[in-house]
Amino acid sequence: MKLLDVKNLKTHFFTPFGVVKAVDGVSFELSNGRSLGLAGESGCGKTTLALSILGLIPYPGKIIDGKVLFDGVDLTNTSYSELRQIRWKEFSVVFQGSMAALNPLHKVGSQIAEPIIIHEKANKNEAIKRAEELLELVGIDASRADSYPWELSGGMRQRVMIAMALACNPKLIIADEPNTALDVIVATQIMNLIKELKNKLNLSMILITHDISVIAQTCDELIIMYAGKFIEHSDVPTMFKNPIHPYSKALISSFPSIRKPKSELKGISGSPPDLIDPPKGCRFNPRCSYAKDLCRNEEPELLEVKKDHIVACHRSDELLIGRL
Amino acid sequence: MKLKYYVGFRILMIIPTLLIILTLVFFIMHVLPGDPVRIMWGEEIPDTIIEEIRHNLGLDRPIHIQYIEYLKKFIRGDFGTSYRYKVSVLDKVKEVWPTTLEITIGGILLSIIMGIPLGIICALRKGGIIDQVTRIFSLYLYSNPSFWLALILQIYLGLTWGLLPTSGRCSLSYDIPRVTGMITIDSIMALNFRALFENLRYLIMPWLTVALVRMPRYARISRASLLNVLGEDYIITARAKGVRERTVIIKHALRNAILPIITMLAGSFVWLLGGTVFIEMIFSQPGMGRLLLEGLRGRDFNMIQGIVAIYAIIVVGLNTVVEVIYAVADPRIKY
Amino acid sequence: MLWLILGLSIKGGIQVELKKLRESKFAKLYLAAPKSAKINFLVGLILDIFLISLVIFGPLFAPYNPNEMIFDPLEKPSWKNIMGTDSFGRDLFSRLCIGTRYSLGISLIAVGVSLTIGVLLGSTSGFLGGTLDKFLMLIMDSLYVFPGFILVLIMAVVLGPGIWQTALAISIQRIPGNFRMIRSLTISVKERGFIESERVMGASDWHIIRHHIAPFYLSILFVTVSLGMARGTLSVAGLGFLGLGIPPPAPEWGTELAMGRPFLLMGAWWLIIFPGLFVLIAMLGFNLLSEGLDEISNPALRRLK
Repeated sequence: MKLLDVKNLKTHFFTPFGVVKAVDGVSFELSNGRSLGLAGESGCGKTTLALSILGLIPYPGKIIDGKVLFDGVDLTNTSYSELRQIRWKEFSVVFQGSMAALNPLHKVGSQIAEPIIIHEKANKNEAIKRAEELLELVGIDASRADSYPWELSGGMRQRVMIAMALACNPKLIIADEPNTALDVIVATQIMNLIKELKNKLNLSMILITHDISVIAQTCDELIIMYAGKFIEHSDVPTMFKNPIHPYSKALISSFPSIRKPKSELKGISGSPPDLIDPPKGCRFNPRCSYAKDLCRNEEPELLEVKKDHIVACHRSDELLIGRL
Repeated sequence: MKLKYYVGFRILMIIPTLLIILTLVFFIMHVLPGDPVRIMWGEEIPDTIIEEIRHNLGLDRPIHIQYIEYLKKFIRGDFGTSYRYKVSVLDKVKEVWPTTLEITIGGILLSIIMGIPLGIICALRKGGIIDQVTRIFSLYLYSNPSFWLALILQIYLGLTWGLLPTSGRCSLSYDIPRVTGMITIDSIMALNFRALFENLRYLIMPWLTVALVRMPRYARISRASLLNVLGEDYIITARAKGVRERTVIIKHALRNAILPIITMLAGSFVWLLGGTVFIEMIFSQPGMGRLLLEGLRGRDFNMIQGIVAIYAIIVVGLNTVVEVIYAVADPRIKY
Repeated sequence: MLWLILGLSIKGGIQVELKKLRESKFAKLYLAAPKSAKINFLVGLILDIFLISLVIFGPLFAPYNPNEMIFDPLEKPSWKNIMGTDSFGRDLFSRLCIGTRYSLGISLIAVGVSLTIGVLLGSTSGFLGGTLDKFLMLIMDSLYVFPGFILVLIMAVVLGPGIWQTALAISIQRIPGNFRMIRSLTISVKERGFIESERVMGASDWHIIRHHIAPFYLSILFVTVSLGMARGTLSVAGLGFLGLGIPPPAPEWGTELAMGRPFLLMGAWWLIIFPGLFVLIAMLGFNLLSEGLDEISNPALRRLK
């Protein structure tokens, strides 16, 4: 049985300016021990997807369609109080922006200990002890458990977030942009830490980021998201060697490679589409250099063009054989 | 800086602040038109006697000498003698200030009890009926001049319906040993609960006046502060961790939201010290506000300066206390 | 003929202004604002326009001369005197209408003076910094903590009764608050990088202040003025009630309230209710306006609403 099975999930935000279709029908599966990278531009719906799995979509958002099955349990149909009990125990999150995600008035140690006290019915001292162990695990001196978040550096706070996420031994960790706001050196350290922990503890992971180089280092699979929809999904080596969708291709070529011969850095022209009123047909068509009339009128479906490689593009077969 | 040094620093800062206020008021007083001696003794007294009285009071010396004398006496705690009452200013003030304090503290407590929970409920049920009604009423209450509200309460609750006594401090039929001067506390200490209830009737309208005008403000700031905190990311983190909603609100949200509320409370207290003038006048409560007014009208320099000095001490002291409390409560503040 | 030309040019002028208004930034902000903000703003605006017209066209609204004692004293409200008469036989409604001039006029002067001084001192202090700044801050802070009304009270007694004196008393109390606000605004603008680049380009301090810092003030100007008017009106009425401020026979609202008090026992409730009502309307008008304006011009605040 798959650990996580998302079927046709749709999360929309009902704002006074219109309905923002942040997640507009996405499906994927994740097996035990696998790690999945979710990439896309800012504002394409990645974080909303993570929050939807957790059941923590802020007002005015709502899941209006689809299912999220975790270990067979339908999370979209579970009551809030039941959800509350499995949260963190089964799956946890490392949020973006560690400074804002940690309560400034609570000590770091007690914040890590909090879920332990709730879910494992431990008493305060045991929980703090375990929190200190977790801090050591992520490379922070246990004495820092008495510090406040603002007393720590960005990198240390991120480690605290990771330690906190591991507190109840979850099966799945969702990491939302763990590297944004960190400088390159610290970011690399954090990524290595995540890799190490993932292997040691045999965790399943969803890594959300706009930086695909990070996914290349740590994940088994890669999904690329655009304007609320998935446009390509395959395993990491394939995606990097042979991306099919024009957007994926552009995204991957935006990142310079040390090994390949020197070439120009190509960006992607245009800007992300409006999620209230997305373009008709394929949502990428205004920015796509291969767009034809069909693309402007009909939305492409996600189709399996090769084994374990699905793409949503009308011209995928032509792109596959390299005719374009 | 360590906490000790910060506290020390704040305490030290009291001195220049006080000095400035006192100096300002002193010089303003002496620019005041109107000869206090004349006003006290009337027009008929011949000039020579006026001069003599003035000399006795030391009012004919050059200003800077008077100023230095004033400061010297202040340090000793001597506020001089009231021209009007002929007793030491300090004594007179001591006689009346429990009244002001009682009205102020009682009023604020009532506003807190009424306002803050309301604000919290409005934040938690944002957009609901309670929220909308509160907002409309708040604006209306807040725009009321306090003296008008006091008068209306006095007319309707007191005169027309005869529910509550309209003026004065306490039922003279109960004799309670004066410990603090505040009837509520003194009656409790004397364990005379009948007296307590009788006397409370006199205090309800002043308290209500204060509360009705201040409450909207408290409700609003509580609401805004809580809403602000609820929108923060760490609230989502707490929920994601599986914390019970009630705990999220109390342990995470309220704890962070309380800080701005504390600052506001202190500011309120200060404002109220000034605002009690009307309430004391309307409900005939012998308090500091009324004393100040009389002093001003009668050009009673010593009284005016004395009361202002005391206000200044209270205000600056309170401010310092609040700053220190804030520094302790919010570990983020760097000092 | 001349009237025709005048009328047409006024009409043309108004049309141009309306067009400018419709396309201005304010219009965009206004349309995006939530309903409650718009209601606040509009109701406040209507009340304020009403009040201002009372100030300007007072005598047109007032049915009788406020100072003529031609009626029976202490008459209940009736069709003849819609708000009754006072103890001297004067029509209360006319008196209160004219009284608007005092309250609003004095408030306006007070707000103007305190804002001007506050802006001058605040921006200089914030911009130049150093010992001048520290010195001014110390003084202003000391005054700021002091209970405001007491200061007004003392100043009012010291300066004596009268229009300018009252305005001055009120304005002095407001200066520390304005000073702090302008100073912190100035400092936050100063700390943004573009001031440095202006300097590099060789702009003089004065030029920087005028063209880059001043526009920031405009955004808060209207709200500050509106709030200031509200508090000023309250202070004027308060002083009048205590017998300071504007002396009788001037029909200031607070003074009327105080004069009516003794007659309460005789049942003359209108002498209390109506003057206070005017104060309430004025306060509501300004408070609503500033609330609405604040919400409209600060979309960031909307997250809380």
